[in-house]
Amino acid sequence: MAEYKGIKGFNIQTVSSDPANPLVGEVWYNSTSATVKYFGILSDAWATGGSLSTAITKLAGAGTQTAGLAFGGGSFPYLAGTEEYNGSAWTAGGNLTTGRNFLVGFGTQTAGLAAGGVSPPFTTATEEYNGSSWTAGGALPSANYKSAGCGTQTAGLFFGGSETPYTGTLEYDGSAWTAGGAMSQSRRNAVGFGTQTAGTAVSGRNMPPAIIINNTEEYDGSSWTAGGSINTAKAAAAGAGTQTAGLFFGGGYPIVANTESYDGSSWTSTSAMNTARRYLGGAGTQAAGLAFGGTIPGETDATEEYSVGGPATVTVTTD
Amino acid sequence: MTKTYQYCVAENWGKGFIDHNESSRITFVGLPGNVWQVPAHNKHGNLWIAKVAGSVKTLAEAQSIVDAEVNVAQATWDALPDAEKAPAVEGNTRPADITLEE
Repeated sequence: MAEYKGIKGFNIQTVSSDPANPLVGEVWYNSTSATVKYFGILSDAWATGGSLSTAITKLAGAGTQTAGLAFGGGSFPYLAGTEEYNGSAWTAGGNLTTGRNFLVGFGTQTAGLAAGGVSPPFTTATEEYNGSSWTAGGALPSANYKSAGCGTQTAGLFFGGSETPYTGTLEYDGSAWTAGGAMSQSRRNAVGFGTQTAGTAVSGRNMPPAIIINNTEEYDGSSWTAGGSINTAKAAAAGAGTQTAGLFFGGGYPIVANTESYDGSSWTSTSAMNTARRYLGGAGTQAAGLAFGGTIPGETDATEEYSVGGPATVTVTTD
Repeated sequence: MTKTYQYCVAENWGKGFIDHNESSRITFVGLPGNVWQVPAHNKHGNLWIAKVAGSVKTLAEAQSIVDAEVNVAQATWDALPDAEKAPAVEGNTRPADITLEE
């Protein structure tokens, strides 16, 4: 069996702690942990995160990978629960006043927003989260569900859905919704991410004729224009990020695990989730995405965290 | 025939169950019933199963576990009110069977 010295011409350096600024390809023996390590390049990947306290589907999400928010969802009953994520575990937050599924969620863990959904039947209710409890916000002009949205609690965007106007867009200012520019295409169960003035609508199903569509539309605060075409069109997926750095994952009929990233003009396939699911919640950024809950086909409590690859210290393992 | 995948049952405990390093090295497929598919004859797959104390299953055993979970999901769907299964609520198709690969 070849030895490191025979290959490289010198022994592996023994150190008591990992080097502060290793070079890619550098190998060392950490005497404290009694492990051989190297500094390598990892690819983008999903890792498991802390599980939700309840397996749940058709929920909404907001926030970041280390300060996430999951709320609503379920079917019979329609759930009102909220859970907060700290990067490793979920804990209970305040309940929505109106339990519902297929709702839209965005914002942050301490300034979240929930709008629309099935309660049943369909609701106009908007609720705002302050980090501990939900209070009523301005109602949607008309009830809708399976819509998408993005933005913040004081500058939000709500678009598409299963009720007319299927192409409609609404803008929220922290107290009321007003009409924005219409999308060129109807879509429900689409994914939204970005901001009110730089929003993104991805894939989904148009209506009618209820065909899964693969296009992206981008909002500039007043009108939508065409963006790049996604590689795998699907509805009931989730997303995260911004108009120029987006992430789109899960969803589909049948259920898929694939993930695509967006640079503002084109989509690129990246590492798939470890568990395929649809009707999941999503949050975070392109570089640090968060997926939770969904249907696999039973309901799941699993959370996954997406991280971009790059240089990292890796511990060498052996059989 | 040389098998491509191996299966185990392991409960996902959350953070650290599959870490970034493991996920970047091999492809995991999580399935109903806490069944996990990982590459066969693969050091990293074997190490991960050991780490999570996975109970290795044959293809038939794993298929049986997945089938049982899918059957529950299908029965749950069948019991939904017709309104929830109506064509207007698209995507609420009956959960499909999952066939595992060798």
